[in-house]
Amino acid sequence: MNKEKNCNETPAVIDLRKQTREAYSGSKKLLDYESGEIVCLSVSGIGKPGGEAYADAIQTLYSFVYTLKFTLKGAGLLDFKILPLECKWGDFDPATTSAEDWSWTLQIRVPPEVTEKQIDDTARIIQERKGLELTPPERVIENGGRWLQLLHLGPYEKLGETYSLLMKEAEQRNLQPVSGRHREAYLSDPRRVAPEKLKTLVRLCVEEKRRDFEL
Amino acid sequence: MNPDTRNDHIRRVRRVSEYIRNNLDEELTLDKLSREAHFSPFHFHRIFKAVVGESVMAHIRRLRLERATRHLKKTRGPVIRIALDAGYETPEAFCRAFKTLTGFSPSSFRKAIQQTPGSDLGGPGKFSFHDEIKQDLPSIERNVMDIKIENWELRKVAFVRHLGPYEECGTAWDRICTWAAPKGLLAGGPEMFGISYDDPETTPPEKIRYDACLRVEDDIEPEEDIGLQEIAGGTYVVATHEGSYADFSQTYSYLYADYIPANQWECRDAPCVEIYLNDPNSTPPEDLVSLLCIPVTKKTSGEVSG
Repeated sequence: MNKEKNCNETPAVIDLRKQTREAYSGSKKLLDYESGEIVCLSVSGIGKPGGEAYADAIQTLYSFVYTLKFTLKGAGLLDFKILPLECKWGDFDPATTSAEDWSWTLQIRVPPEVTEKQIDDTARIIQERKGLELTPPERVIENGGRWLQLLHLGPYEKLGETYSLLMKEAEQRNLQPVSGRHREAYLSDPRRVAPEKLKTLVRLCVEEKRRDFEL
Repeated sequence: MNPDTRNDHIRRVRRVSEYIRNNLDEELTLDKLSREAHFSPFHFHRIFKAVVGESVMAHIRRLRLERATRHLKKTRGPVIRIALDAGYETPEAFCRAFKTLTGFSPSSFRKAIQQTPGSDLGGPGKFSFHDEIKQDLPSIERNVMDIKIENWELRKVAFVRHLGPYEECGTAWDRICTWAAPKGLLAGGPEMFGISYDDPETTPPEKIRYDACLRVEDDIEPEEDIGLQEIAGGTYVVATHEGSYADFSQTYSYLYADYIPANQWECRDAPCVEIYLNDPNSTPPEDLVSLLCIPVTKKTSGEVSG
């Protein structure tokens, strides 16, 4: 890592929540908002949610984001609040696809100041200490857009009900979902919180309906 | 609850209360009082609060104030002398505390008492004494969702000591994490523990001790402000606390006053350990989940230190 800056400097804490308040709001009301592009640490995989590949991806992301944050902070370069884990689902129909074949991209948003070199340095730190052959997360830029968002309270198995509500809302607003751009942000840790108390933000990226759809 | 075990707790705490009452002019330290009760100093302040419903220092202050009230009634000595005897450095501080307890200033209290023939210690207004330890343990609103008994191996930890109010211990976590991150110690599910040694209602804020601990391997050496210590192995009562850290005392009170004696456990002479399962910087207080871990051993017959 670049340690040219004075180690005693305390960098200002970047709180990305404040940039798009709606995106992390715990409000139970439907939110309709626009957000710009974001930068994420990102790990993609295939497998059942909660399965081995999925759990490994979560562990990798948290290992990286905490090591990155505190290494940069210690070097006086950057400090930021860590945001919830998010998931972007692949373009498949969960009703007809076996859970073992679900494709997902797990992400944690980071400030745009985080560089690919810093992520590579973090990988080196982790591998040297733990002797792990980790595949580092990618630094990915996700496009912005218009979002409809609802807070889902309850087990993940019932997330489909919240997606249905969002689809109905989109229809009523003469909007259509943008294919492959629905996301979830997990406000609770499923290892620690009872299923009925799990909080998940469900986001549907939407756009104006095209004319030919109205015919 | 087993009445014998509960009574043993109450009996030992009552003995301390009697000791306090008989030695109000002495310097009453937690160490001295915990020895009197045969409780480990690591647990005494929490056990006392769980049984009595107020901290040791609040209890001592109240007994001194109530004694002062009796002196006001029975003597004509100056208020300043009574204030100093009650352990207050200034008459103003004494007046404020007195008014909080009784609703009256010392002089108006004395006047009212002395002008009301036959008035007893109930005195004017609704003021009444309540310095008896209740036979029933206080009813506790608790956030405990799960309690387990675990056997821990001894753990070597690196730690940063924080001196100051518990609410400010985040600086110790920042320090240990900025030390650990470049060494790769935050990867792969780090094990972190907090140790809160003191009762914030009893210990002056600047002397409250808290250790932010991170489990490390044997090859780690201490440096600068990073110390090394061991978290004792053995049996622990591990309670899951859901909600704000500020409500830990309710869960501790339940464990100390109810669960531990009811299940024939005795506290060991080692500190409690807290494990935080989510990040307080990114989690709303109501969604925080923590484990409160109290080192225990099976109670043997008779009184043992614990």
